[in-house]
Parts: sequence; structure tokens; C-alpha cells
Amino acid sequence: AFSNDEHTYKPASRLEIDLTGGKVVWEFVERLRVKHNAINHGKGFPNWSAPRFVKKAAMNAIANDCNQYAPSAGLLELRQQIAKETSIKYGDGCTLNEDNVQITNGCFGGLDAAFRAFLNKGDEVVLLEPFFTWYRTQISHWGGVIRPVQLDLEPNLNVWCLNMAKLKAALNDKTRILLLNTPHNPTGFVLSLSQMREIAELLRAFPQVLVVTDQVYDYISAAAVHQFAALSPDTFARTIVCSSASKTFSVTGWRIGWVIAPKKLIQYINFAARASSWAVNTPCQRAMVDILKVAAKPYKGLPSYYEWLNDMYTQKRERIVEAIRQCGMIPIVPSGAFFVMVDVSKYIEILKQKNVLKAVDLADPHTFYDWQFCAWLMETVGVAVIPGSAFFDATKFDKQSDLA
Amino acid sequence: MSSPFATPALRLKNDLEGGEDVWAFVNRLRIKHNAINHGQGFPNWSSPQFVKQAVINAVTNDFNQYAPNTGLLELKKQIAKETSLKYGNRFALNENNIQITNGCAGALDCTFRAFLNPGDEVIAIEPFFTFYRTQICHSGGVLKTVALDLKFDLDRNQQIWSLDVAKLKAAINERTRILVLNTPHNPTGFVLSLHEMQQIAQLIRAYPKLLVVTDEVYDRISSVDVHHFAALSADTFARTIVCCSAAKTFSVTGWKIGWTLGPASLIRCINFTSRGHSWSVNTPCQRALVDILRHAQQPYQGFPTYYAWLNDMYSKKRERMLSAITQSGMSPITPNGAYYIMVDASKYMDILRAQGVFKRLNLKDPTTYYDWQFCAWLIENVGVAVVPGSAFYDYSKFSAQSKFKFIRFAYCTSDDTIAKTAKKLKLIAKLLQPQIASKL
Repeated sequence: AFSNDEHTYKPASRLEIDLTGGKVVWEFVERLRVKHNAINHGKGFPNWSAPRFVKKAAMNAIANDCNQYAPSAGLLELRQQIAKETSIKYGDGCTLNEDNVQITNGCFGGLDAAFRAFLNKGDEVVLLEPFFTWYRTQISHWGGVIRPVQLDLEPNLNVWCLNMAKLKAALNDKTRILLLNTPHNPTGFVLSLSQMREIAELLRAFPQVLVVTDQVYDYISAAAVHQFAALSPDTFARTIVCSSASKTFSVTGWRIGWVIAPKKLIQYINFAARASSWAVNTPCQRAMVDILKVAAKPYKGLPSYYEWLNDMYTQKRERIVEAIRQCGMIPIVPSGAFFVMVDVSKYIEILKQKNVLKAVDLADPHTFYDWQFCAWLMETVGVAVIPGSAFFDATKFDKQSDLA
Repeated sequence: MSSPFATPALRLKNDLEGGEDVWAFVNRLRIKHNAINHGQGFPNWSSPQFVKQAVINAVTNDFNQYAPNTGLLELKKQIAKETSLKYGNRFALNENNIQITNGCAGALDCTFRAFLNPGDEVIAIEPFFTFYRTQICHSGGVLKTVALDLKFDLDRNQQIWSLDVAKLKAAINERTRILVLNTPHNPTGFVLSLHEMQQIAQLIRAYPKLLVVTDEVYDRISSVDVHHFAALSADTFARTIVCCSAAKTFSVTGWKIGWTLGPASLIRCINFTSRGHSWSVNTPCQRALVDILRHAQQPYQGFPTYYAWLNDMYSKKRERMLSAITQSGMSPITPNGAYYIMVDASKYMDILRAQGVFKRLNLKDPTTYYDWQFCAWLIENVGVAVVPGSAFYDYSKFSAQSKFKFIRFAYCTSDDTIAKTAKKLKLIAKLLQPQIASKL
């Protein structure tokens, strides 16, 4: 009799990344967090209700029968609204319209569409390290190879910084995409205007490089947030901007994102996006039209919802940084997003000396010191966070790695 | 000349060739002439009240953050439970047998992405849902088709769609990685019989590499028994991935909540590609579906279940639509399931050609195919929008001798709409065959 043997079971070779990635850090943290009922400072979503006007907009959309297929490009009114707001944001007489926008399944889906639309096998994607772990999966699925450029820690100032010479060295004729996540997950680093200009200048020597920006934390930043696409007509022509409603409106579960780019590039993004699911959830798209309009107006005593959001997160950032300092750890104070990378090497040393930690085995991420520390933190203290090394390219780790 | 950075990936070649997209073509003309929409496959009525209420509740109750990337646990459990029942309790399914996806389209795409290597062949029955081709191409696969035949059924005294299993056998070879079985079938409404499924199960035993992927999105809409390939035996279950969704069943085509169901080891691979595409699927609609599925099992509007009500509603619409089409002088091929009808309109196409109304056929330009031109004529002169049938075929096989006979009607429309359409369709005979029109 036929049996479910390795023939039918064998997945496509593009899944090698998923099969060899070892135990995924998220499952590791989740398992222990649930077991010890630890406070969740791991995963990136709010534990409060989405704002009332946001929920109301979705309920209206459903009640008003916006429950059938949206066009594959996305709801026209939503694309127009986004185009209008982006034109204002970019200034300089910029006039975008619905043809410059593709609605996607979250920012995640937008990035995936960009990789699907533009990566051929062997193409390189340069990105800042540490990086959001799933970039690598998506890039691998579509045949690409990551080329990380590590951010440095400026020890005296205790901030993250980008060494432009390193970025320049990573670019070569195999580079197809430069992925810029700013504000940055997990460090909260925000690219400055002059850094963006330097990057734009570097890219002039590489006409085959597309810039893909992940701007999902655009509205959460203490530092000014700049738009790479808006620097000049040249940068606009070669940039694919990805963003979403998730973090801005506290609806990470809605999966409504968008891609903004020149019309020709959006056409290809549309080919990729429509093949992946034909269209995106309609009622939540419809709700977004109303939500974006309300968000531009005064909210809770601040000039707009966006100001209120940023102010709220600024206060939370200060509180958490203070809490971390008070227990003797060293936060690298972020400028944007809602994460903070923390140097816990002092406590790791103490635990090592107490023989609480196992020896590091490079083949098993569970033994990395930061993973072990996170496990100890959940079990003994009741707080769940993510080991920082998970955001780095593990293939480059060695015994000397600063896995703290 | 295009900038180097603007060059799309090689996998988009299918999207770039083939001229204007059929959906864009029909929608553009339909909107321009305000024609009645029998083209795209979504209902023009409100979703049922209990369905809308379920998602309103989910949003209110704060189901607005990330669901697990495998899907909401309660939803997976509910689907597993119901499917176990559907499969006669011969398989003990649980949440590990399910992956929630962005609709059935997402289920199919994630499945192709999980299992196709470059050069792998995928067999689909032709005509086929247009998007299979693009999805398969993006994942490096090559689409091979096996055409349904039209045969005259003496019992029903009419033409019916039929599958010649010998043709299917001839198409399968060492390179075949996936066999897609869409039943009930879009666009013909053909439903695979139990016997045909058993024959297929038998002939694929010689090909251990072959996975069966079923698209069962219309499985609640059929006038004949719907069988489940995965449920035939432990052997078929072990090698089948079932794709389905809430869209057509609950009239929420815009929610994009679907699922794949199969052996845990295969579903795990689909989880990799699903999380790779969009991390997770819309949460409030997933949560809503848990309540919706439970509600649907109960008596509804005088029927034993919502499903019985749904199927009855569609079977009545099917009859009305068939009657409207027949009275117009066109020849519908009676479907058994789904909510489409393929209609032979060649008689009228021939008249228009003879009258010199049609442009010359240019195989490189789909807008010149006779069925496309007839659809344009129908929209403009009669005010009814349908989809040209050739769009569901492998255009690489077209030649100057191709017939382009069919147009596809969707009847997921209100009774009011069907009645209006019936009146309009009578115009065709008046316009093209006035001498016969009065006799129809």
C-alpha cells in the first residue's frame, strides 16, 4: 500500500531556510512564557484595545456590506487616500495617485510581494543587521541571498550607528535590493537625512539596485523620520515603500498594508500580490479609509492621532528604559519603533560564574547565552523578552561572538 | 528603455505575456456601459446577518492583534472537527492538520510555493481558474492541462461536461508533482464522481512523487453528491492537500479566510510558506468564522442547516439562469455544481462574424478572440457582462482554427438581477436573428 513516504513529503528546495533554521526563537520564547506565565515583552503587538474609532470603522464597513472581493490592486478609495497623504508627506509638488499604490496583506505581505516581483535566484539583498528575522525567510523563498551590514554600537554614547563604508563594501553587481528598515526593529535606530543622502549617492554606481523601505514604525519616533523615496526624483524612481496600519493603529491582526512606488514598479508588485491571494480583506480596507481621515484630525488634545500615538510611545519608552536601568542592565536607548535592545552581559557573567548556564554549542541556538538568559528571566523573574542574537545572521557566529 | 532596477523577476513572465488581463477587460467595459454583472464570481446580496454579526462581535471583543501564524486555534479545531465528521469519522483530524490561509487563492499559492521546484509539472483540468497558471509559474512550475470533453448524455438528452480519465493518465509522467482537482469546477460546474475519483486514485499509485491538491471552494453548492478525494482511503489522505474557504459558502468573498487541510507533515510545509507570505491571516474574520461554522450547523430559514438552505437557493437560481439563457437562443451546458454556466454562443458569434462586425482574429491579441469580442458586443448592445470562456483555457494551444465558442455566466446574483438579465438576453435574438426571435 502507498504510504506517506518522503517522496510526497519532500518540500520545495526554497524551504531549506525553514527546515535548517533550527528551533525558531519565537516558539522557544512563547513556550516558556506560557509555562511560567511571564509578562509578555517579547512579541511586537499591543496588549490594549485598538482605539474606538478604529474598531467602529471596521464595524461600519461590515454592516454596510463591504464583504465581497476588492479589486486586486486594493480598494480604490483607500489607494487614493494613501496617495493623497503620501503626496503631502513627500511635498515638493509630488502628485501620486491610485496607480502608485498596491494594498497588501500587511507590510509583511508587501515585502514578500517586492521580493517575489524582483528577485531572481542568487540576487543579493543588502540589509542592516540586526534584522527582523522573517526578512531572511522571505528573501530565501524567492531565491535571494542576504548580505547583512552590521550596525555598530558606539560605546561612549551607547547608541547604534551605521558605518557607511561597511554599507558601500556590501554593495556589488549581484546586489538587487537594498532593504532599509527605519525606524528599525529591533534597535530603534532611525536613519538620518544625511545618511539617506549618502546612501542615495552610493547607489548611483549600482543602477540595478532597488531600494525597498520597511517603514512600518514611521509614526513612532523621537527622532525626525525622513522619506528616502522623497529625497529626489532619482530616489523616488527606484524605491518601493512598504508600510501598514498594524503598529500605527494597534491592529496588527488586520493584515492591511500597502506599497507605494512608481507606477511601473507597482504593476509588478500587483502581479506578485494578486497571485498570492488575489485580493486583501475588504472590510478592513474600507475601514482604513475612514480611519486615515479621522487620524489626521485633532485627537485627545493633540493636533492629530499620530501626535497622540507618538507621545504615548515616547512616555512608554522612557518608562521602560528607566525600569531596565534600575535593575542594572544597560539599555541602548532607541530613537524609534517600540523595542529596546538591552546589554545584559553583566548578569550573564554572573550566571556563568554560578554555573547556571550551559556551554555554548553553535549548532544549538538554545545554548546561546542570550537565549539561556531569556529562559532564566522567564522562569525566575517572570518577564519574557527575545534574545538579541536571533536578529543576527547565525551563520556568522563563533565562540567569540558577543552573544549578550 | 527601462532602467535596470525596474526589471521584473523571471517568474513574472506569465504575467507579462498574454496581452490584456481578461478581468480588467470585462470590468472596464462593464463599468463603462453599466452592464449587469454576471462576470466576476461574487454575490450581489448582503452576507447573512449571523455572518456579519459574528465579525462585528470579534472586532468589539478585541480580536484585532496577531493570530498565531498557523491560524487561530479554535478555528482550526472547529474545521478539523467538522471535516472529520464530513469524512465519516474515518480520520481523527486535529488542529495540526489545518493551516489557515488568505482565502482559497492563498491556500493554493502557499501549496505551490511549498512543493514546486523549477520544472515540476502541475496538471489541471481544463478549462481552469485563470489564476492557477500564474501562481504555478511564480513557483517555478509548468502547467499541463487535460481538457474536459463535451459529450451527449442520452439520459438527460443534453450535452454535459465529461472527463476522459485515459487522457489524464496520458498526461501524468515522472515530472508531475501536483495534480489539481477543482471540484465542483470553475468554470464548468462539472463535479467529479466517486467512480472517477477512484479511477484517479488508482492511476496515481504508480507516481509516488505526485501530490493531489483539491480546490473545494464550491463544495457546498452542488445538485449531485460531492465527494472528497482525501477521504477515499488512508492512501489518498496521505497525499492530498485540501484547499477551501469561507468565501462562497458564506457570501464573504472579501474576507479572505481559507484553509489547507491534510497530513500534519505536509501542512507544516504549508505553514512555512503561509507565514513567509503574510505572517498570519486577518484575526477578527478568523474569530468570526468559529461562530459562523457553529451557527451554520443549526436549522436555518426552515432548512435543517444553513448549508441545505444555501444549496437550495443556488439550485433555484441555477434553474432560473438556465432558463434565461436557453430562451435567448444560446446553448448552456448544464452544470452540476459551483455557480457558473458555460454557454455555447457560437451561433451568435458566427452571425456577427458574417455581418463583418468582428475584427480579424489575431492570436497575439486576446481582445480579438471571438468570445472576447462577443462579450464586448453583449455588454455594449445588450447590457449584460459575462466572461469569455477562452480565458480559462491554455492560450498557447490556440490556433486560427480555434472555435472560441464559450462564455461564462456567474449566477451568484439576486433573483431580481436574474429576472432583469432574462429580459435583456431576449434582445440578442431580436438583434441578430429577428426572423427567429419571435418563435423563441
